[in-house]
Amino acid sequence: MIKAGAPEIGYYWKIFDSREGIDTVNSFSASTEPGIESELIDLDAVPFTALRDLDSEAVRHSAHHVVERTRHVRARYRSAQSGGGERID
Amino acid sequence: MPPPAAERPSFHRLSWRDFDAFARLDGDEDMARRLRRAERSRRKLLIHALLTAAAKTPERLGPLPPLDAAWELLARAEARAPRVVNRMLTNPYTGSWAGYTTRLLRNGTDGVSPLWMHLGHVHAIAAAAAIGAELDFETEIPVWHGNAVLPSLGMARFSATAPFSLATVRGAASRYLISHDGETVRLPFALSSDGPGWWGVRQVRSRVGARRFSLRLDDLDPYRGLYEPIPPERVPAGDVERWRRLIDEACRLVAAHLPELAGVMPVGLTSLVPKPHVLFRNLSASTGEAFGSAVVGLPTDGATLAATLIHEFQHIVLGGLLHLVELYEPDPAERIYVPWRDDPRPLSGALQGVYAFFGVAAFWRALAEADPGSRRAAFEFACWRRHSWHALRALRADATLTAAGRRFLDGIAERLGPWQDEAVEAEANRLAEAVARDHLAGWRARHLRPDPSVVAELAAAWSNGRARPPVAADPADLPPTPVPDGSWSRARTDLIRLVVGDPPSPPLPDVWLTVPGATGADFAYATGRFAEAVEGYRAELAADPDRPASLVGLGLALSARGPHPAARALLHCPELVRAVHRHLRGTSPGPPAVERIAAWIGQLVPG
Repeated sequence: MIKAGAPEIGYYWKIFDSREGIDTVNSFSASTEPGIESELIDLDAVPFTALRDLDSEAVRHSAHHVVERTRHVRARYRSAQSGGGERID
Repeated sequence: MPPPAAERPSFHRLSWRDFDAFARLDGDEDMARRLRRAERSRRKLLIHALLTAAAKTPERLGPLPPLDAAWELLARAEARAPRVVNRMLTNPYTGSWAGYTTRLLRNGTDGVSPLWMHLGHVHAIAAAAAIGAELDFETEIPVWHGNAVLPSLGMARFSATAPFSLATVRGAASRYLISHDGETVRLPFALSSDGPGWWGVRQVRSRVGARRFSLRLDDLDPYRGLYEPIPPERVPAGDVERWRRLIDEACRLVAAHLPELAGVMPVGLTSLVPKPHVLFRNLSASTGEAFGSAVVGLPTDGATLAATLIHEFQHIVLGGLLHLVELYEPDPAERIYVPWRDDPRPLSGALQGVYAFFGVAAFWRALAEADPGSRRAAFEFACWRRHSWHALRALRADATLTAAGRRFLDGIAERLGPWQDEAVEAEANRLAEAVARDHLAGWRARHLRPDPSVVAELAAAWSNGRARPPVAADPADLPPTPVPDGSWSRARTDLIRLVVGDPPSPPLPDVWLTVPGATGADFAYATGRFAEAVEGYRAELAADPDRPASLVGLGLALSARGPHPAARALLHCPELVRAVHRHLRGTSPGPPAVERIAAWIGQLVPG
C-alpha cells in the first residue's frame, strides 16, 4: 500500500548500537517528505510480555496481512536445472 | 516511556529517499537496519498469530508443554537480556520457521514432521534465548530423528529411534544440559565449538581495516532450507577452513572495491547455509522469509564468493522492501526471458534477478577498474551489465508493475544505463555478446512454439522448390511456454569462462572434457577454431537435428566466420528452423540438412 501523499510521521531518530541484532528504536516525526506507509505494524519496541496481550484492530489487521502473505510463497520458483540459483518470495 | 503500539499504532514506513537509494545501490547501514527492524516486527506478528491460533486448538499441540511456557521464557529472557531476544528474532530461520508453520497451521496439515513438532520449535527458540540470557530454566524442545536443535547455537545428538520426540533442556548460568531418554548432553562453554554429543553453529569472523564481518555457517537449523525443514548436513572441518579462507578473501574484495556496500552487507547477510561445491556452477539461493540468510555452494575462489554474497544480499534487500511496498501486481505467469535462467520467469523472479545481477555487475565493474589487465573481470562486467540491462528494459514496460515498481527500475537504470557505454576490452565485449546470443537462441529453441500454420506454409514452400520462403509471422510475438522442448547445455559459456580464467585455469585441452555437456565442437568454438566447430556441429546435427545446443552452436560458429543466412536464422529464430525441419522429416522421405533450411529461412532475417 503506498500513500505517496501522506506525511512522513515515522522518521527515525536512531540510537545506534552496532552489535548484532540491535537496531535501537525510537522514532518520531522529523520530516515532511512523503513516503511509503506499509501495512506492517511496528512492534520492534514491544516486549514479549506486552506482545501476547495485543489485540487491537490495527494489530489484527497487520497480522492478517503478514499471515496472508505467507500463502504467496511460490515453490514453483524451484529451479529445474541442477546447480542453478533460486529465489523464493 | 511511549505508550504501547496497541494504543498508538504506528506502521513501518519507508521514505522515498531510502527506497531510491536502495534502487541505485546506495543503501547505507541505517537503511538496512530499518529493513531488519521491519523484519523483526513481521516475525513478532507471525509468532503472535501462530501462538494465538495454536492455543485455540490444544489438540494440535501433541505432547508439547503449554505454549504459555514459551511466551514466559521469552519474556524472562527479554527482561534479562533484550539483545539476546532481538538476536533470536533477527535469526533468519526464525522467519522461515514462522512462515512455514503458519502455512501448516492455516491448512491444518502436518509438514515433514507432525504439526506439533513445528509448533514446538518456539520452545527451542525460547530455550536458546534463555541460554543466551543465562537464565535458570527448564523446558522441553522437539527432537527430530535424534537431533535437538537450539536455533543459532547448535544441536544435541541422541541415539533416538523414534522420529519425533521431546528433550528436556535445563540449567543455569552457562551450565546447561539437554536430556533425552536417559542420555544427557552437556553444552560446552563455548557454544559454537563441538563437544560430546554437541555440534555448535560455526561463526566466521573477518576483519578488514575497521570493517568487521561476521557470518554464521549454519548447517544445522531445520528451517535453513528454502521450502521445508531439512536434516542437518554437517560440513567437514576441512571444508570449514576452506569456507573461512574464502569468506575472508571475499570480504577483503568487497571492502576494497565496494566499501559502501561492505558497510551495509553485514546488516543484511548474517548467515550462510553451506552446500558442497558444484563443478562450474555458483550455487546460491535464498528466500524472502529468511531475511539475512543465503544458501551458498562452496565456491572456487574469493571473487566468485564475493559476487555471490553481493547477489544474495541484493535479493535479501529486495525481499525486505517487498514486505513494505508492492512493486508489482501478482502474476505467476512464467513469461519473461532472462539471460541467467534457462526457463521463462514470472515478473517477480525477473525483477529479483535484475536487482541481484545489477549488484554483481557493480562488483565486477569495480574489479575491472582496479585491474584493467584482468580478462575475467572485464568479461564478467561486460556480461552482467548486458544481461541485467537486457532484462531491465523488458521489465520497464510491463503492465503489472506498480508506480513504485517502475520507480525502482528507474533507479536501477539510472546507474546501470551509463555502464553500458563504459569502455571494456574488445575481447570481453565480443565474448559477452556471443554468450548473450547463445543463451537467447537456446531459450527460443526450447521455449517458443511457432504457429503450426506458419510452419506448414514454410514446409510446403520448401517442398515446392520456392527459392525464398513466404513472409512468416513475426516470431517475436510468440508467447513462451515453460515446458522446454529439448535440453540445454551451458558448456560453451563454461568453456569461455575457463578461457578468460583469472588466474589462468589449467590448459583447456586438459580440462574441457570435465565441463558438463561439452562436445568437441564446443571446445573448438571456445578456442576460436570456428571451421572445426562448424564441422563438429554439422556432425552433431546429422545425428540429432533437434538438439538445441547444436543448432545454436552451428549458428554461432558460422556467424563467427562472417555473415551467413543460416547463422542469422539459427540465432534469431531457431525454433522456426527446427519446427520446419521436423515437419519436413515427418512428411518427406529424404529431408534436407537442417542447415539448408536455416539458410533458406535466413534470407528473410535481417543481418
